[in-house]
Amino acid sequence: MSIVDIPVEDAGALEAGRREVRREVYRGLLRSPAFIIGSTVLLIWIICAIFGSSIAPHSPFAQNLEGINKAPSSAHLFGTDQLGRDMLSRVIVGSRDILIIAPLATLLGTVLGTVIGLLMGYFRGFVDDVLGRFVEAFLALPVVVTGVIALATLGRTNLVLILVIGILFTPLIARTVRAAVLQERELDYVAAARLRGERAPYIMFVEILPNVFAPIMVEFTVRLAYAIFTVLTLTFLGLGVQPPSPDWALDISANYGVVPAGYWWEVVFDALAIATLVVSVTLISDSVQRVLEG
Amino acid sequence: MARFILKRLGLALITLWLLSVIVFVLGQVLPSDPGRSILGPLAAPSAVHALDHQLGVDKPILTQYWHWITHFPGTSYQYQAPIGPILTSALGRSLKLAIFAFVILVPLGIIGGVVSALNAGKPIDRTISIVGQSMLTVPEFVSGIVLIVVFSVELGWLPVSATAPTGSGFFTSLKYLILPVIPLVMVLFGYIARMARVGTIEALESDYARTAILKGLPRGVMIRRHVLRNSLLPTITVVATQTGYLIGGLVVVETLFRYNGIGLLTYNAANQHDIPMLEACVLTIGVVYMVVTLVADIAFSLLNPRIRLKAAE
Repeated sequence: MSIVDIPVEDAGALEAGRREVRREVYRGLLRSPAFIIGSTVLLIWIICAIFGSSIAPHSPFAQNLEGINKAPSSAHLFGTDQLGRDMLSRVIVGSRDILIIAPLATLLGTVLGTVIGLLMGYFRGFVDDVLGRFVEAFLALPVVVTGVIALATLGRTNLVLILVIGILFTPLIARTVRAAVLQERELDYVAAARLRGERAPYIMFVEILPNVFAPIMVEFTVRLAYAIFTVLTLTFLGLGVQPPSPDWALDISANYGVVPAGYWWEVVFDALAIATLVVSVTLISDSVQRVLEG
Repeated sequence: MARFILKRLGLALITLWLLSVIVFVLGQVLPSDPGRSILGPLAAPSAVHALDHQLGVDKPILTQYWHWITHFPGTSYQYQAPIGPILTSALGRSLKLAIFAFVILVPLGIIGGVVSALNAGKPIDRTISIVGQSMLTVPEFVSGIVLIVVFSVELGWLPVSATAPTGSGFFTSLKYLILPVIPLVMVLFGYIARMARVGTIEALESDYARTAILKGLPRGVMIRRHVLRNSLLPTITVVATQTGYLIGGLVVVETLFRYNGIGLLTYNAANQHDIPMLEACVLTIGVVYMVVTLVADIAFSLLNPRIRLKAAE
C-alpha cells in the first residue's frame, strides 16, 4: 500500500520520457557502423542456425567413405572431412548448438546474477559479506578450469553445459549489479519508497531494477561473447557439445590431428566461422556499451 | 601497513578454505564410485568394495575431507603414484610458458594502450580498442589452429608441437613455445591495452601533467617523465589479475600443442576421471592465482602512498 500516489499525468510523462530515452538508444545504435556490421553477421549465423538444414547443399551427417579428406572443389566448396562429410554443410548447420547454448547460459547467469547483486547491494552488511566471500572463492578459479571439473563430474550434456556456464557467470554479473545498486540505493526515490513503507522486494525489483537496467544490458552482451568463448573452449576440450553434432569447436577438436597431413580445410573454415561469430557479438556489445554508457 | 597485510592474508585464507570445500564437493561428493571406474565394468563387486575401502571413499564425507586436506595432494588413480612430483614438474613447465607469454604481452599491451591514449578518440584508438576487444573473445584454440596451419604446415617455419626434443638448449625450446604463446598473448592483449589506456588518459588529464605543459616541457619529456611513470604502475599490478584467464588459456593451448604442463594434466585428469589428480590440479591453480593477486595487491599498496598511508592510520 503506498501512501503517496503519483498523479496520473506525471506517471504518463515519466513513461513518455522513458520511451524517448529508448528511442535515443536505438537511434544511437543504428548510427554505429560497428553495430550494423556486427548484427548483420550475427543475423546471418542465426538464419543458418534456424534454417541450416534446408540451406546446406548436403546433409551435414551424410558420410561418403570413398570421398574422404577431399580438398575444396566445386562439388564440395569447403572440402570433406575424415568421414567424407561435406564441410560447407557442417559449418552452416554447426552454428545451431552454440547459438542455443550460449544465449541461454548467459540469460541464466544474468537473471541469477541480477537477483544476487540486488540482494547484496540492497541489504549490504551480513548478506553482502557472506555472498561476497563465495563470489571471491568462485572467482579464484578460471572459468574454464571450473567448467572442466564440473562437466567431467556432472556429465556432458547441453543442459549441464548451460547450467554450469550460467552459474559460473552469476558471481561476475552479481558483482556488476551490486556496484550499480550501491549507487542507486542512496538516491531520493529509494528513500521515498522506503518512507512510503514499501517492502524490500518491491523496492529492489520495481524501483531499483529498471534504473540499473543499462549496466545489466551491457553486462549481458559482454557475457554473451564470453559464453560463446567458454562453450566453444569446453567443447574443444571434449567436455561440451558431443558428437555427432556438426558444432564448429567439436569439428576442430576431431580434425586438428590431421592438420599436419595438410588437410587444413577441415579446421580453417570452422575457425573462421567462430572468429566471425565472436567478433560480431563483440562489435554489438562494444556499440551497446558506447551508446548506453555514453 | 602490517595490519592491512594481515587482513588481506586472513581474507585469502578464508577464500582458500572455501575454495577447497567447493573443489572437494565438486570432485568427491558428486560422482562417487571410484573403485568401479578404476577397475572397469567387469570387475567383481567384492573387488570394487575392497578398493573403495582401501581408497577411503566409503567413509563419511567429513572424514574424507579431513583425510584429503591432511594428505594433500594424495595419490593419482591414473598413474598409481604420488601426485606431488608430477604436479610440480608440470607446474614448472606451465610457468615457463606463462612467463614467456607475459614477457611478450606486457610491453605489447602497454604500448598499445599508451598509443591509444595519446590518440584518444582518433581512428587509431578505436581500431586498437576494437581489435583488442575482438581478440579477447576469440578462443585460443581457434587462433592456435590457424597459426599451426599457416606457420607449421604451410610455411614450415615452426614446429607443430610445443615440446622440444629432450636435451635441446634454452633457445631451441623457446622456438617450440613461440606458436603456443601467440594465442595467449592475443587473448590478453585487449585487456591490458585497455587498462594502460585508462591509466594514461587519467594521468594526461591530471593537474601535474597540465603544470608540466604550462611550464613549457616538451611533450615527449612530459609524457615520459610525468605521465607514463604514474600510469604504468597500476597497469602492471592489474596484469596480475589476468593470471586466471592465462591459466584457463594454458589448459587449451597445452592440449592443442601437446605440452605437458598443468593445463594438460588437468585436462587428462578430467577425462580419465582421476579425481584426486583433478582436485590437486584445480586447487593448485586456485592457490597460484590467489598468491599472485595477493602479492600484486600488497605490492600495489606498498608502492602507492595513498593506500599505504590510509592503511597506516
